[in-house]
Formats: sequence, C-alpha cells, structure tokens
Amino acid sequence: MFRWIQTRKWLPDVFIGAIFALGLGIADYVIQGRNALYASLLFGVSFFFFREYPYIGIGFVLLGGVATVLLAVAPTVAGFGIAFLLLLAAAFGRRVWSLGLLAAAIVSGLVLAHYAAYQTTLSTQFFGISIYNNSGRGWLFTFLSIGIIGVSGFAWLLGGFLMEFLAQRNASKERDIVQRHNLRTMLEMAEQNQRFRIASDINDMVLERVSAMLTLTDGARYAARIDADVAPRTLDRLAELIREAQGEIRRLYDMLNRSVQVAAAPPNLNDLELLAVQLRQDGYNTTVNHQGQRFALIPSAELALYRIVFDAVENVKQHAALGCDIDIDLIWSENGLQVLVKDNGIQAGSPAEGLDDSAESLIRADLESLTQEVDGPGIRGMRERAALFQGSVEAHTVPGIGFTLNAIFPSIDHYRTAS
Amino acid sequence: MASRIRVGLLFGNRQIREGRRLLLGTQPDFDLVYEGSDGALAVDELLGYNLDVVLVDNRLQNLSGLQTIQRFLRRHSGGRSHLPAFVLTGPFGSPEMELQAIRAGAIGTVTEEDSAQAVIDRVRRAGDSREVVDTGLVNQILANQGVLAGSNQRWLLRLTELPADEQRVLVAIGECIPFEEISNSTGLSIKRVNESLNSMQQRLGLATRHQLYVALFESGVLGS
Repeated sequence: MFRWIQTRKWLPDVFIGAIFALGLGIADYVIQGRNALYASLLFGVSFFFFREYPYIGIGFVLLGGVATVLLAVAPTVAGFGIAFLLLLAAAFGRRVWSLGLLAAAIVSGLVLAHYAAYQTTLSTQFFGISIYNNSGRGWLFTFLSIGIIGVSGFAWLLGGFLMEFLAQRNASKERDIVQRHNLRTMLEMAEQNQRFRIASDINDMVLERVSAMLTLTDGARYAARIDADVAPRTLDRLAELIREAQGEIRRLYDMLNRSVQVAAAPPNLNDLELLAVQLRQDGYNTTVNHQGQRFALIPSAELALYRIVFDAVENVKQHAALGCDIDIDLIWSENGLQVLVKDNGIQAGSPAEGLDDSAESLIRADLESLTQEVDGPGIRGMRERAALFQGSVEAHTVPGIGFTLNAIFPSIDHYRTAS
Repeated sequence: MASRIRVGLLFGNRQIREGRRLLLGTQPDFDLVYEGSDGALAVDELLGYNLDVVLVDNRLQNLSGLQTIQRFLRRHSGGRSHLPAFVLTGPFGSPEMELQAIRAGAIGTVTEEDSAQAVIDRVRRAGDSREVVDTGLVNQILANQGVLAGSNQRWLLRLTELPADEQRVLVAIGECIPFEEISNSTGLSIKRVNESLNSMQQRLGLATRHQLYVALFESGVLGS
C-alpha cells in the first residue's frame, strides 16, 4: 500500500470518490440532514479504494449500509451511486471482486429496503408514499428490492460490456501496432536480403581478383626463373588487379556500412511498449511504467536492458499461468536505474494445478524464498549482461504471489547519451 | 624421351588462366595446346585437341565447370576417341566439392589454396595414361559426406546384369584383392581385366574409374 501511495496511483480514485462523496452527500444532506451525509461519506470512501484494494471498497459499501440503518436514515442518494461503482468495478476490476461488490451492494440494498419498508421509526410517509398497512410495506419492500437488484445487475452487466468494448478496441489498436511493426520488419528484411545479394556479388568479384593475383604470382614465380622479363610484366598486371580488388572492397565496405545504418535497429527501451502489446495479445496483462526522470542511454546499454526484461518475461511465460499480471517498472534516479519485472503467476495460479494455501505450505514457501537462491542459465545470462554496465541482477519468489526480478544499475548514467 | 602431356586450360577469367599458363608453361613435359573460357563451346571443341588433361575452373562462361565436364563426358564417353582427364579447380576446396567433381567425372580437384607445385603435380598425375584411384582419399571424402556403403541399390541392380567375366572381376574387387593380383585370382589377363572394368564403366554409364569406385561403394560391393 505504501508504494501505491508513493506512486500517486490513488489520485484519480480520490477524485472520483470526492465527487461522489461530496456531490451525492450534499444531496443527501439537503434531503435528510447530517446523518445521511455521514452514510454518504462512507459510500463515497468505497470509491477511493475500489480499484487497488477492492475488498476495502466492499467493506465500506457494507459499512455504509449498516450506518444508514444505525443512523436511522432512509436509503441515501449516495447509496444508489454504488451502482456506478459497480459499473466501474465490472469494467476495470477483477471479475471476482466485481462479483463481490455486486453481492455487497445487493445485500446492503436489501437490508436498507427492508429497513425502509418495515422500520416503524421512520415516517409512515416514505418519499411521499403513504404506508398504511403491512401489505403496503410488503409492496414497498418488493418494489425496492426489485429496483435495487435490477439497477445493480444492470450496472454490473453494463460494466462488463464496457470492459469487453474497451478490450476489443485496445486489441484492435494493438493488432494494428503489431501489424505495422511486422510490415516494417518485413521491409527491412527484404532490403537486407537485397543487400546480402549485392554483397555476395561484390564478394565474388573480389574473390576472382584475388584468385587472379594468386595464380599470376605463382605463375610468375616459376616463369621468372626461365625468363626474367616475365617479372616486371606480371607486376604491372598485379598492380592493376590489386587496384581493381581494392575498388571492389571499397564498394563492399560502403555497402556494409550503409546497411548497418539503415538496417533494423536493435531494440531499445522504447520497444518495451511493443513487447507489452505482444504479451497482452498472448494473454498476459502487462504494463510498463517509467518512474523518475528517464534519460537516453547508448544503444548497447538500452539493448542490454531490453534483453534482460525480454528474458525475464520469457521466463514468466514459461512458468506463470496464462492471464497473470506482469509489471515492468523502470525506476530512474539521478545516476542509476532499477528494473523490476514482477508477476503474480503463483497467485493467478493454474486452475488445474490448484493453489496449496495451507499454513504449512505458506511457511515453506516463505522459507524457500528467503533461503533459496534463484539460479540457472537464464539468470546467469542476465547477470553477465548487467555486469557489462556495472549492474547486478537478483531474482526471488514472492510467496503466494509470483516472481520478481530486480536489476540494479547504480551508475548507468555513465552510459548516458545526448540523443 | 618421356611422353609429353597435352594440357588444356578452361578458365572463365582471363587473368587466372594467364597465371596458370605461366605456371604450367614452365614444365618441359607439358604442352599447353588449348585455352578456353566458355563451357558450352568447350563441350564441342575439346575432343578435337586430343588432350590428356584439362584443368577446369568452376567459374566459366555459360556453364559451370561441373556442368561442362558432365556434358562433355555424357556426349563423348563410350566412343573410341581418347578422352581427357578433368581436374576441377576453384578458389576453395571442400570434401563436398571433391565428391561433386568425382560424380561429375573429374578425377579430382586442385584449388588456389594449394601450392603451385601441388597444381603441377596434380596435372602431371592426371596426365598419366593409367587412372589410379586414391582409395584412401576417396573413402575419406565419402565418409566425410556421409555416403554409406550400399546406400544406392540402383547400382546393385545394374551390376547383376554383368557378363560372367566382369562378375568375376567384380567379386575380386569386392574381396579387396589388389588390382595387380586380380589377374591372377580371376585367371584373366591384365588386358582382359582392364577391358572388363571399361565395359563395366560403359554399362553403368560412367566415364572414369573414380566414378566406378563411388558406384561400387554405393552399391555395397565395396566398403561393406
């Protein structure tokens, strides 16, 4: 939670929560007085947590319902605002939590409906409707219950629809990005193949010149023993051939140097976004975050960093369940850089494997994460790459969650470049 | 006076050919009687020069060196004319190239990686009227290229159609009896043994002893 506060990810949540708490709270205050405002504030706070800590959000929804009953107020306007929270949770939250929130909203709503219909301390007039007898209360309860369930369910379904819509739109955008990248790569490959063919032709020409030089020299060596005049004649021919060969080598040199400039550039840190797109297409919810002031590095340093991240996510793909979250964080300081690749592969778990969450198993996992050093060819390769830039790589299992790779480059600014 | 070797040079590049002419021209027993650069033309005109050896560069005009050798032998072998021995040359040597050269009908290769003296020696050996197969070298090439004894049953089927004399020579070869002793073991004269081998080559559509050796190896008669 500390990191959540530090990264200011809560700012938009606070904004939404404040709008609901104040906007709807004021409406409740105007209609029912101070007690209704208190209940509204509790509902509003649930907005504050719903995205990062949905269980706390659900707690506040239930608390708001209880407060409404205890403070003896009629169902509040903010209470109906929970429907909007449900919509957001279904659209952006995890399915399990949005279902939890739906259940909490319905339970709270039904409690409130029951309270409003049968609690005698309330006025016999409920929002202008006279309740004369038990039958009337029953109708009121039924009407409120159907309304609450209907509104909550509709909001939840609408949220799900919104989520699908956004996912489809993003997928389409990401497909375009990948397609553009593939086309660019294909063009570069075609161009490169063309250059290889030309380089191969030039190489053949050079080889032929060298063959001629060699055979002429061999021939002249033998022939000069018999006729000394052969030597100067052959030297003239050789000079001519060497000049021709040098011309061909020059063409080859120009061609290779140009191809280095034009050919597909090695991947750099900007390509992490594309990597994330591809991972998302593969079914991993991947994010890339830069924190702090990023600075440009020389291509080899960026390539090494990209490669470390690439290898780390490949490792996640091998070991973690499909659909897990992968967070790639690059934390820039004045001189250094920390690269974190975190996944929640254990938490997401494979349904087939199941999760062993017994106390014994959790303790064992804790101990293993503290005592066992992660090693293997993959991690050794990453360490070697990091060492080239005075960096180090550590990897460890986070019990019950997943795996975290931590690469630290304390003096990466030595490899800073202006461009 | 030792017999002179009539040599032809077939090189696509004029300067490389000139270098080889300078080198081989120094040898008193060599007569350089033919020079050409066009493979297709050479197929037609080589026979008229009564050559003993043709040094063929793989980089020719119109045809490659291998194609030129193949076409020439396909067109002219089996007749009464004296056919030259072909030595394939090129910038680099490799077991693959050696095998391709033998299959095409060359008796071997010499490359620019070899010394000038090696080129002279190779041409002189090729000019020897009797083609001698360096079995150790050919076996090494076959092993290097992964060619297994008995890997081509097509040869075996054709070998079963040989007449009795040739079958006897074949059996002696299969028993690894040295060439000099085949005559004794089969009771055939040396001339007859040679004729049997020539006939065997013709029946199998082969032009050189090297090709025959590879065919016998692939049929399983040798090397098993």
